[in-house]
Amino acid sequence: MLRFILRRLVYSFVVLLVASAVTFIGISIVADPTARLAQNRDPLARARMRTELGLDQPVLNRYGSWVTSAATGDFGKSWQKKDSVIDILMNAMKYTAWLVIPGFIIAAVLAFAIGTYSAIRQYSAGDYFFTGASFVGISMPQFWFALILIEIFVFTIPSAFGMDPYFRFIGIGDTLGDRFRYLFLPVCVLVVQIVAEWSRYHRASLLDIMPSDYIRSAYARGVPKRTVILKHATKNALVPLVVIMAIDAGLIVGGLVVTEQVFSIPGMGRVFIEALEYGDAPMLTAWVVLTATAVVAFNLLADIVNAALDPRVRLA
Amino acid sequence: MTVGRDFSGIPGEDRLEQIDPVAAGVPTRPVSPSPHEAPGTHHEPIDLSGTPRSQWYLFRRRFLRHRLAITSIFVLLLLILMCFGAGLLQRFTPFVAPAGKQNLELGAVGPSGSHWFGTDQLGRDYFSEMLYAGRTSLLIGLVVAFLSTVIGTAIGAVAGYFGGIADQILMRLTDLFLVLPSLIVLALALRYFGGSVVVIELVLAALFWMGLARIVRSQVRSIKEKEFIEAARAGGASARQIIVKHVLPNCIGPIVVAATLAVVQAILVESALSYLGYGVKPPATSWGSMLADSKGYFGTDQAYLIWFPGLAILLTVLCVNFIGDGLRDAFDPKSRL
Repeated sequence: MLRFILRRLVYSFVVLLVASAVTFIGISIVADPTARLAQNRDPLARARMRTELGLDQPVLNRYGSWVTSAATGDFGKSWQKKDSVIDILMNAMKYTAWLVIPGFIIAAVLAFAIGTYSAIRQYSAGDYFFTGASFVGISMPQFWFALILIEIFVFTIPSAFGMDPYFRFIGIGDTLGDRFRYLFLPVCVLVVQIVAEWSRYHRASLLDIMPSDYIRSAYARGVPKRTVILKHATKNALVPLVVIMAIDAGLIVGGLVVTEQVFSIPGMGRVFIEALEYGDAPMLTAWVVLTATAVVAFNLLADIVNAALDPRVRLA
Repeated sequence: MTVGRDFSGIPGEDRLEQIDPVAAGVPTRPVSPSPHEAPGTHHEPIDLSGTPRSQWYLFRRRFLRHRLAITSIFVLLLLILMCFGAGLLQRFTPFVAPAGKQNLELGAVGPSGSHWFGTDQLGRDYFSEMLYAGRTSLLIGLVVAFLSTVIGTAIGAVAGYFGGIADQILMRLTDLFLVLPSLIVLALALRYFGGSVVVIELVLAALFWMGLARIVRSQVRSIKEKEFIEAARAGGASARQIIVKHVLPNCIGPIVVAATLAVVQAILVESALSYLGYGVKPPATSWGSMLADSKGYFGTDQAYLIWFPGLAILLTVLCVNFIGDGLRDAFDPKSRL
């Protein structure tokens, strides 16, 4: 177990190094943040900025010094915003968390309920409805769904009733009391997409377990169906669901680039887009390191959780 | 069991016969009395009157029973015909306008009998524009699926069949591609090479092959230990022949299902890229770029400009997902209908 974790940590370290190198060198080749000064009246402005940002050095040297200072915990300053990238990322994480944490909790509850229902009532009208809905859910372009929700909830329905729209769609609101009005629509987008996937997953793993011997013996002992499913079957069926939740949690730390863009939420996704547009190498690389760390860490967590919950799984 | 016979035609047929001849109702070898058998102990002849059924037949039957998948194939074919036949429709029917034909006096008007999906700001018939844009979206889906399937299958097959150092190198490469945040790679590549359709196809294909490579590799590793592979090797078949003719036909299920997934992903990711400003550039249009162009029209009278391209993407992706689902069930030997 300990050896497994150690080996994974070493491996993850290599992965992070490669990811940071690809990002740093890639963005340095692709975008030049000083290009906008080319038309500047002061012919030396661009050269000055290049020296200031260290762009007169070869890109490999720049990456080398980035790595050395990153190793001491110093990820540098954003070229665009002049603030420490750590501060910017922490601030963005707060916004993303407002979106992601409620979304995840709601999605987990819904996926569990829908998956269980669909498995118990397999091939019922309700099962077909949820199956169809989840197919639609995974087949929609995310931002289109967001735009459609805005159109319906902010414009069509309120204007049909001649009311002022209750829901907002720009930012996440200033006061705590406002949060629901602002977060309802973006959280909806997130929830629909992940519930579509998770509920199918949970349904499949429940159905996979139902023919097992221990379920049959539980029935034979006279345990009511409800208890068999909610207790005996669920205990085992939850393992894959928890594992996939952990993996998805890692993926989502990068924010919902598209959803945040539609709803103008200044979270992780926005930081990514802005750093990319500007060619902000330290910002973008730190972003990649943070999100890749999250992916790697949650994957490791998923494996450990899996092994802890399912004694058949051995970490090797 | 026949080895090295003509494998032209659909690979599934031979693959499935090889795997499970008994289940297909075909006896593996002729039943002939042994010369050493003592008289009087002769076994009852086995009743062979049932129709022999190939696995391909069973696959077809299972798939055809999947009504949604069949309907989806027809809808998808209709969409493909309409989009790629838009030129013909334009010439011979009054429903489709020439590509990019503007009518600035008309401007944006909602759906009507003469303009089914209305017109956009420049007075272009939105239905016709969607047919032309659909070519790009569908083509991106199909090309990316084809390329990523070929790459993933080739890498997985080589890694799994040869093992050793080739396996190590290819699988570390796969891991590397898996951990790189795909959005970063996409955005950097598209900024560098520009957002032409070919570049988008190549970049997306370069990002979607890893899952399939892993599946194919593990399948190949188990298949290559089977006797019929050894027989082929004993018969003098080269590694290439064995992989192409004997190993890969046995992995056809996961390969085809992964291909449908790649179509879906390519179309959805292209639309998201368009929204973020990294998609196809004018004059080329796709459903994603039409959607991105109309993103500001919610809450206006032109909201239909948002609805239609999104519905087109939804319909296409839904159909491909249903087909993939049908294929998955049909390839699953456990589901015997």
